[in-house]
Amino acid sequence: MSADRYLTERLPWYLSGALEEAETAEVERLLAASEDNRRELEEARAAARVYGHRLPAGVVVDYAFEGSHPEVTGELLERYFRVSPVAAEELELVRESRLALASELAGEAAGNVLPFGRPVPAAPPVGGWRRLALAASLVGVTALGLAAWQWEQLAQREDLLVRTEAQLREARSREGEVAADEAMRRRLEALESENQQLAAGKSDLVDQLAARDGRLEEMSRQIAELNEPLVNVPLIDVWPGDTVLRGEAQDGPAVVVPRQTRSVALILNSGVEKEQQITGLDILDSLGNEVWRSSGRLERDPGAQEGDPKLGNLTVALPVQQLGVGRYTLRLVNRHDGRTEILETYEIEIR
Amino acid sequence: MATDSDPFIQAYLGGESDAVAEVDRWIQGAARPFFRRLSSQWDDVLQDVRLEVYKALSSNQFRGEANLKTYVWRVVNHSCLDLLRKASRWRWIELEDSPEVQEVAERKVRDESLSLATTDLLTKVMERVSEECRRLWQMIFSGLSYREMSDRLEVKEGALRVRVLRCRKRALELREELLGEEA
Repeated sequence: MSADRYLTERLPWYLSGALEEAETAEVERLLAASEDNRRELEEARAAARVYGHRLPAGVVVDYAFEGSHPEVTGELLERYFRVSPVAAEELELVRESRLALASELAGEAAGNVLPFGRPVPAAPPVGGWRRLALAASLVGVTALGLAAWQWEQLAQREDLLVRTEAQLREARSREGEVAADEAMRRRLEALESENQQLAAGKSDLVDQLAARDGRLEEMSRQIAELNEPLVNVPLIDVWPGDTVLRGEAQDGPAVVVPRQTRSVALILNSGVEKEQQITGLDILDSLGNEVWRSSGRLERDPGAQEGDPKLGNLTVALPVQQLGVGRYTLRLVNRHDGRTEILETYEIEIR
Repeated sequence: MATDSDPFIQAYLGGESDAVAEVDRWIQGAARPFFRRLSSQWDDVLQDVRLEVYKALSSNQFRGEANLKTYVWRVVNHSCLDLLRKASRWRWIELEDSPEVQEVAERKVRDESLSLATTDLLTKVMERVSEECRRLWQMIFSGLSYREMSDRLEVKEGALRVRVLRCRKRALELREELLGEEA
């Protein structure tokens, strides 16, 4: 029988004591019920020993205080603390404590305060056999003196090391502050510069906005006008090549459209054969630039009868205001296969 | 070996108030970083640490290699780490085992930890598992339930449990592989 999935997935938290009471009871029931489940527990423990492996506390303390340990290489310890979050957290706590010590020692050194005084040995009595004893023990005293001197040197070096570290930390802290100040100053300068640029650009923006508002107002007015119904729209019959007002012949090369008129209706009396398709109407200015182009087939007067002279009528409402003053050519065309065949032209002039 | 600190140590061991107060100040300063992890039992922690320091000084373990304050500081850190580990609810051993069996099992775990070969092997395993696996198990060791982990990581509880299970298998596979290579 394989291990119970419910149990397998919960074992890490069972081992850490983080399961709820009912879950713990269920896990323990399952553990008691199956050998496979108990093997799973051992597997979970084995994995926990990998992920939660901890060095002896002494090694962590030695590493934090000395940067090394006699039994484990520094390189291995560095790698170990890098990949073991549990151990790294412990190391961090000890290091924090050590920094507090360094700070205290540095403060004592700066204030020249010793935590307790070194005892001053009493002056030895001199005289009689004691002189001989003193002479006889000279070598021993010298050796002791040397040891004491060495100890003193070691103690001084340790204190010096601690003070230097504290000074270094303080200097780094100051450097950090200076760097932070410098970064802040540069940031402020950049912000000030941006501010000036924005202030300079502000008047331009205000002008542009005012111009756009004016243009918007004008366009709104035009839209409102276009939405109004038009009465007495001039109706103009136009023949290819010449122009007449409807019902009355008029000579001249182009029909004249008064510029005050908002719109005119042109009746194009086309002579294009009925079978010939008209697929476009182009309007060109006096320089031949296309100012408007229709697309799609144009249907001629659907009510016209066979033989009716107005068979080919097309009606065009011309936006006079939008075209503006000038001479224009209206062109009926047939576009096919990428070519444009001009069928007829009509001339008008807005003035 | 007699040290220059002997009179102060004697004063402390003799219960002289100035010496006791000074050592107690050191103890509290050294232990302070551990407060955030052991705050719920802080008074007991300090008592235990005071006892350890007293034992260390009364048994002449201080050799004078460093100054006394540094020595006491290290003893405090050592004690705090031990207490921190004891505070974990981790079940390394069977609940029903006798105290003697538990003691043996705990010693076995400590001995394993001490082994250089073990440290080397487990470091290699940890270097090969994913960052996510290390993080997940770290959260487990810090005592989070899978529901708390699920909330923090915004992963469904079931998916989280399966990930942890995969990480568990991966670590053991790697350990076996490395042991095979070494053999």
